[in-house]
Amino acid sequence: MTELSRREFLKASATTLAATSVGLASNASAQSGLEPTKIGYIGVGSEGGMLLGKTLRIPGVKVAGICDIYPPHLTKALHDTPGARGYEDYRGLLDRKDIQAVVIATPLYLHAPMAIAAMQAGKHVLCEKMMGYTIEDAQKMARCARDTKMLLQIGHQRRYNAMYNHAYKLIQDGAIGKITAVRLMWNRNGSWRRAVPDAKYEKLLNWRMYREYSVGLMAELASHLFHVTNWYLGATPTSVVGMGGIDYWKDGRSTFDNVNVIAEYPQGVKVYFQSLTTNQYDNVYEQFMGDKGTLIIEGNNARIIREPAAEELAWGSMAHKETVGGKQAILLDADVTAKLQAKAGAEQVLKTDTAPKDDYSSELESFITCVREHKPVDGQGCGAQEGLRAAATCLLANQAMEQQKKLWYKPEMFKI
Amino acid sequence: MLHSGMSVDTMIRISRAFMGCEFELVLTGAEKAYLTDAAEEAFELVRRLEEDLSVFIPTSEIAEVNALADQHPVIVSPRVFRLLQKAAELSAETEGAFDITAGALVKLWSSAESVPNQDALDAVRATTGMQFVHLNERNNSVEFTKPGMRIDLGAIGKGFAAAEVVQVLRDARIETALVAAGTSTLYPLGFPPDADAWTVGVRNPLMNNERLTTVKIRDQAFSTSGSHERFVEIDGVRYSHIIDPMTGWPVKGLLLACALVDDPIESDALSTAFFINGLEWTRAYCQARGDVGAIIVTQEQPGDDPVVHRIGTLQDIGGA
Repeated sequence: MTELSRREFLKASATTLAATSVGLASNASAQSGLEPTKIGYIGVGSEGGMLLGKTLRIPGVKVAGICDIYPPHLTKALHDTPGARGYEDYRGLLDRKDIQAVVIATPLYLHAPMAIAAMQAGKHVLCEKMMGYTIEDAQKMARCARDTKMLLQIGHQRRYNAMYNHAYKLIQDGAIGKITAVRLMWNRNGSWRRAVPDAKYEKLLNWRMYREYSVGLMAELASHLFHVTNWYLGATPTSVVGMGGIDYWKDGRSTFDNVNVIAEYPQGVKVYFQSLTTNQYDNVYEQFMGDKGTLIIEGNNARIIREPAAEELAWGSMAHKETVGGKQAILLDADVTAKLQAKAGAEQVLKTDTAPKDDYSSELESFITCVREHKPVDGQGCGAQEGLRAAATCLLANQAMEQQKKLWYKPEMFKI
Repeated sequence: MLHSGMSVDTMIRISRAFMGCEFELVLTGAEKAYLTDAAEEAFELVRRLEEDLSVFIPTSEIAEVNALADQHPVIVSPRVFRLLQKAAELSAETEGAFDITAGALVKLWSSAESVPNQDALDAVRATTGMQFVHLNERNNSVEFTKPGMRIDLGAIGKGFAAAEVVQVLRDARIETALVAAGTSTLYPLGFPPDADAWTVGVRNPLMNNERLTTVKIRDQAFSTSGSHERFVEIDGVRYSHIIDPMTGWPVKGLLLACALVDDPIESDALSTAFFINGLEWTRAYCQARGDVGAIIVTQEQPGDDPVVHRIGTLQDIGGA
């Protein structure tokens, strides 16, 4: 029996993109002799602050500069990052010659100007999702990365999740047959608003509520799920309709508090997306529906329910199953089902020799690896091309809701 | 004393399940929507904390430490490192009674179908103790010097979360709130609208619906540890879920131990340490510290009424 370590397995798998970073993070002795990779942070609010905490766990990385215009966020981040210098103006941070790369986690409308300035200043960029405030913004960012030869990674962290990569592989292998429809859900019950005690900071901290800074639910939530959809289908949509509204939270916001979208993909595949802020029953999932089965991913849990008429998968009898809603489901495991699927036997045993990582850590590690090893992001993870596809998909969908009409995507919208 | 000079006309009570318990917030202020937003922000913070601290979430920092720190140093985030440093301090201060490395002992007992034999307990005890945890301040790394060790922040995590929640509420300029992390830790912010302190009832561990005593709390955290709600039953015998790291056996003796001190992390840890170390140790500790109060509930013989001992800063004040 061949023992194949998880690391070797992941390296051997062309579809598992986290492979390059496995084992990189948190091993304090691993990078001790190397010159540290110096990173700057622009924006350390809730998302940027969380990413900063995870970045500080990566050996051989030094966060050398931090920028934020909201003083409490900057103070807290600097407290956690001894040796980092604080900035109120991001251009001061970009002037630092020793900083090789920046993480940008600022309001959406600032992504393009900041990322472009960073790349023009010779910094590699990991920019939070969604890529740009407009399709043109996202394209400018992608073109800047191409022209400056700097790396540009977009923060769609599902790309680095072992389960998502595993599910992708299963779909490619025909586990659910030909996909004809996709349901995407991201539902919550809450205002999505921060309690801001000082009115002068309202728009700064609640920028997601305001259309001049954000595209609301389509940018912050839908872009993740459409990123996965575009990746899994290997396609971008052709047309889109939708209805959104500010129907419940009459609190001065100007981005929709509910969105409902249907996008059509090639060969008539329909992709439904719903995001509510008033009911969390359906929570968050991606459901891919094929003529042989349905694959549902909910966070780190995924399952396949085969259609009654479909023959059993070669490895299905050995997989762990449970009954969900009266239907028998195969529970997916990025290690175990991969093994079953690979051999429909037990010639290979996967041995886990490292701890599983959360998606954000995997995303950051992959970026650092690309910076250190001068590898392109595209092919390793979510680069400019994938980021642009997700952004263009969601931006036109939002326009369709705002204009209350069906809109058609043009191929050039997705092109760098 | 209340929110930005506005009149207080709204109180909300809202709870969510985190860290294996109900986190409950009671917030007072002018606007319900504002209070709800602040509560949701606080809950989001606890959710993220749980993702970092839980031993049950495979991608948490602590799970990674448990998986790998006996092979190489594992870097943790600054927040988690500070918590581990605090845990080490509290372990030293309580002479090893509070011990986050007792995780393997806890696991052994919680999953036991029969009473573990002494050899098995001794083997696990040999890998228990903060002296085997190396915390390197230079790079925020953690390393175990004994293989197979586990840490578990269950006896300190809720207090830590309560402290972080109160900070979120302070940042939102909420001046009156009560944070309850399950039944183990209470941490108030400010004063209740109609009194100069929060009155907290301590339930009789022998009769669940009966109030045994009360405590008045101002700007301090109050934690309780006991075996009446959480225990394992083996061969018809109830064993405490709190394990004495020095012996490897579930703690016997007290019915309940409570700690009152400024920092909810400390109160959380100290109530456990008081429960393990017993009445006399707790008296001596509180006397030496001067800023800690304790309530110890004992029972002389089965069938007797519980006896309440008020100690330290709780000796003369705040009871009923």
